[in-house]
Amino acid sequence: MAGIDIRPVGDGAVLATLGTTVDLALVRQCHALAAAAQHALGPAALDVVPAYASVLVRFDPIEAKLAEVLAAVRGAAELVSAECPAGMRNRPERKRSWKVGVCFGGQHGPDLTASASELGLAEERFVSAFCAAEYTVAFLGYIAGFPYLVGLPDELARPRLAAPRRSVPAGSVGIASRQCGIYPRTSPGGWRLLGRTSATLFDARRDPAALFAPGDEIRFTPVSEFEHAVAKLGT
Amino acid sequence: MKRRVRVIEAGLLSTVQDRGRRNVAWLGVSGSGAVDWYSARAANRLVGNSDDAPLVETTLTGAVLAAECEARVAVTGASAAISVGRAGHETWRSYEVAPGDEIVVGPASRGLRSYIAIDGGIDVPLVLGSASTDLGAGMGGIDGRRLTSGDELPLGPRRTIPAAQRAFRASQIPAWSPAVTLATTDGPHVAQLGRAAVRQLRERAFRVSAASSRQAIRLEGEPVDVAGQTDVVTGGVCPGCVQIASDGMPVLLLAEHQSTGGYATALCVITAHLPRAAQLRPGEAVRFSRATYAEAADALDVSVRKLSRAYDVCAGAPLSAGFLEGLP
Repeated sequence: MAGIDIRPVGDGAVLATLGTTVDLALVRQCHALAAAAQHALGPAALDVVPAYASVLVRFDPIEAKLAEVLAAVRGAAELVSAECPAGMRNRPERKRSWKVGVCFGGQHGPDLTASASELGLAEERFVSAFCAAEYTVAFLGYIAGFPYLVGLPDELARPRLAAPRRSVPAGSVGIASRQCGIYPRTSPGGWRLLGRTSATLFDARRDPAALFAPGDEIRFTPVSEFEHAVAKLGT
Repeated sequence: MKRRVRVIEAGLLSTVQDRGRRNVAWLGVSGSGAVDWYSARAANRLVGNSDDAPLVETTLTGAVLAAECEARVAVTGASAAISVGRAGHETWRSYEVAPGDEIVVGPASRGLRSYIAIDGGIDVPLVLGSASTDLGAGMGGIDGRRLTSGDELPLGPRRTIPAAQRAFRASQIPAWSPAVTLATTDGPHVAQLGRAAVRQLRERAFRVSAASSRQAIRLEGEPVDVAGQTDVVTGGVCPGCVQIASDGMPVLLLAEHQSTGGYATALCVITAHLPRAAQLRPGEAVRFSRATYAEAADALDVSVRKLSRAYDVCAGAPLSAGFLEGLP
């Protein structure tokens, strides 16, 4: 992990920046560093937050000293670099795979038609290309249980909406540039909505509360509106 | 029978909070918790609770509770006219109440958020390790929502606290100001935003927008000139981060901030000054100054020592002139 930038974020957090791109190799490095930092800091870390290209470590400055946390994160970065020679960085760890049924288009995916036509594709072609790809959960963020996915084929990438929606329904599957995500609950959102899943992505009473975890692999599969409605009744 | 207090009037926005959630940001969950950590800890210490005991955070208009049991109650945070039972009229001091007694926190005259701690703490089920209400996710506290009149707040077992530890001295009580300076260290994205943007942030005065919340303080004023983009690859953020939104306006993250963000962070408010930020009201003026990490650590050390000095205060001692001067 040469060139990794480690610096404080105020007196209560440390940010390790590993790059500025959105790609799977970088995401895996972030996961490795997050795990190593968590191990090195133990209960001193209030939060370890992996993301596309960074890891944030939050701590209580009343309990721990900034210099010690900086040193621990630097140590974790060195350890991960040493144990992860270039050729092994993509070595899969324990993987969980999910198949997520999505009811595409229509009222459930109001931006599918425009996204496909802008690319000169039929909706069916867009959906089959979307479902042929394999996605990896890079991290959870924005709102509880929201998975940021990498793996959207470049040829399907479309920019986010010019004006965000005030209300995106729970279960909506959206894309923005090369990003893909699923809204766990109804919330504002600016991503293009392709369809909707009946899966419950977050439930604080469940353990684990979030359905997905960083590193999980996801494949989308089309379901009919009827199947979607039946599945919704079951949740 | 279970000890409890009842909510008579919940005010503008009252919630149950503790120190917030840890190890949940990776789930996309906000840490939440009391926005003003100093006042919340002080309130708990004044009634003999641990620093992590759940208490009530009110906003601007205060709240009215009624005791249904004997309890010890302290109100801290914003400057406000209060009455706790028959005899209690001072904030930053705890009083004994009996069943039927009211705990009235009036509208804040200075500052924004009041903290009502009751001995034993508010005994609600922990959600992801904390009693804190997360309004966005709708979890924690009382059914994940703000308090409403009629709510019954169950309490933990009685705590005792020596008489000498039931009041703060004037020197321990923050004086909230309508024009604050918040000390900041450089944020992680200074290079991308450009030195000019950071300098402007520390030269200009900003105003607190009415669109502020427990998530963040939105600031109004002259937009800063950003050299590069305001967007960064989405990543973790924390309370105190001053981000520059795409319109060039600063946003200061508070306790219930989203776990990740996509705006560049220009400055970071030091932990010792987060209570000042927490007590800012819409329309009030904010300036940012520069602090070193050593200064941030010293300032925090002073705050922590102020909290602990409650333990040498004599109850019933005559109030110093300084204490009276500190009142609005």
